[in-house]
Amino acid sequence: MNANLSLITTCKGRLHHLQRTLPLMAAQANVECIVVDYGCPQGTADWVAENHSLVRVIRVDDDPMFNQCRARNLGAIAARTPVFCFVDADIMLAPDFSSGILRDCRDKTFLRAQPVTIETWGTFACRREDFWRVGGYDEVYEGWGASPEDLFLRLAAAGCTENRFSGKLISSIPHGDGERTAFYGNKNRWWQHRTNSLYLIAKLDVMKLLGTELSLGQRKALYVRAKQAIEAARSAAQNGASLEISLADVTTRTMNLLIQLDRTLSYSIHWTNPSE
Amino acid sequence: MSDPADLPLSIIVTCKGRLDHLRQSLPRMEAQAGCECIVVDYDCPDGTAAWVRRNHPRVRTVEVRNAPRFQASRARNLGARAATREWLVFLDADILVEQTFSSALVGALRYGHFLRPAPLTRETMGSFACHRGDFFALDGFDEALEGYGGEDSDMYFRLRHFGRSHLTFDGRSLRPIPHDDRLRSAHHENPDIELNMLINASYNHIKYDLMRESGQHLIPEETRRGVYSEVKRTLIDNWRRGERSGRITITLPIRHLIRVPDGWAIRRSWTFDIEPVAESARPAR
Repeated sequence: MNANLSLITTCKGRLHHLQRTLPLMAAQANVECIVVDYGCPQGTADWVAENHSLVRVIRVDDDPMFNQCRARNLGAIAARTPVFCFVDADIMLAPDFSSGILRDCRDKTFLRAQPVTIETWGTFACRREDFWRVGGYDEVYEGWGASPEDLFLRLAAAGCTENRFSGKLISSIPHGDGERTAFYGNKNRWWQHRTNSLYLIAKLDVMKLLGTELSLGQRKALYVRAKQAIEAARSAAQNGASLEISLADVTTRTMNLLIQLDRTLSYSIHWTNPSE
Repeated sequence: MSDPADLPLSIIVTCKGRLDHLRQSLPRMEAQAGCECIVVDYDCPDGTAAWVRRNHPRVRTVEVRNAPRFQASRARNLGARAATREWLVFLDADILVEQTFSSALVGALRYGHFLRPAPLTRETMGSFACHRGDFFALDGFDEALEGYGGEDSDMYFRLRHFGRSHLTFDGRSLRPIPHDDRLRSAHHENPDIELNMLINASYNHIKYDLMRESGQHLIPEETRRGVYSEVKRTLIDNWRRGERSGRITITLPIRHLIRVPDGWAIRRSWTFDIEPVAESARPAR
């Protein structure tokens, strides 16, 4: 098989979706399909092996929760082609999907659906070297929200241009929020989104000001602080949360003898409806 | 029409109240074979432009009127816009160049680099050469800066941020005319050199953070002027109260494309705590 595109999908409790969508993925021209069974309680890996022998399966059995970023990174590690396309298990592909992606996904470009919906938000394609140049997905994210944007923004910061593929090439299987958050600690996706958004904005600023990627330890520590800020607001039934980060002067002192410049980065997030 | 003997160098010198220096330095600049010389008379009370036209008719002049304060960045930018050669060479009016200056400089020119003298002294800090493409890509010197100090080091930082690295030329080909600090601040609104350098260094470094944040080499002029004004006001007010430190808070836009529901508002601001470093605590250069 002469594959030029890796279709990477992940599954935890979505076998009933995958049974409808995987045949459409496997039928695409010039693709390899990779399914990451992230501890799926429905036996996804076995079903794929029995029914789609050409589809490659990655089995993960060390995490009771679902970490979509880690699952997608593991799929990407296994991928062998120059173009990656990440597709959720509930996304149905049109027959000419892969040819459209391969035509438009050039170097230093990443593709998202246009128009995009909340269901198709995470479907995107990019070149292998661009994905790994920015380090892939940030696995510190928990639950739903903001992790796709994190990757898009890091790709853009690395000089990649966001382009579009026709949203008509994909459609989603309707389902409720219960399935979306079934394997997340936080069952309310909007509360999770607040934590993730706060973390994302602060992380990008710190990265830019320090001029470097943050280590896993630094990112985890920052995520904990964002999470604590949102959890405190939730416990106190408040409609807002804030986060402050002190950055001791590391950039100014290396090039300037006159001043010391310490930074405090402040972030706040407010909402009118606690359930949204 | 260009002469085959022309060097690709435009020497740019500015003057406001420094005609005494220019009388000594300009003949040496003009004597550099094949160079173009440009003098910017920045509303000079000594009548510099008329003197240059009378005594050095081959030197080009740019005249600025109704500018009681000296604005080094603007003066140098005006000189650069009048220049016709590929490489811009900025020298102060109190710099005497040796005969070998231009030939040594031309030998050191490399695309993708800018050139500064080595060894470097406080007096030769502002002397440098860069390609006009790099200079204009960065909009030249930052005209938001006022008073003495900081516009040259800012230019070097932004050239490096733009991906240009610095090479050196023989600093012994530059000989400064000694003078006291009063001349340096004679035509500035704020005559206190230490305070002005504190203001300009603080503004510059806040600007660099905004450049890092935006990923851009240029911050919009309106933003720069707003930040400068706030830094200047804060530090001057504190200085008058006997305080040397200052705190500046800047609210930044949320330009991240995070999908959030209606009714959400995300805000961010950065606070900078400025602390002057005592001279005794500064590391040796």
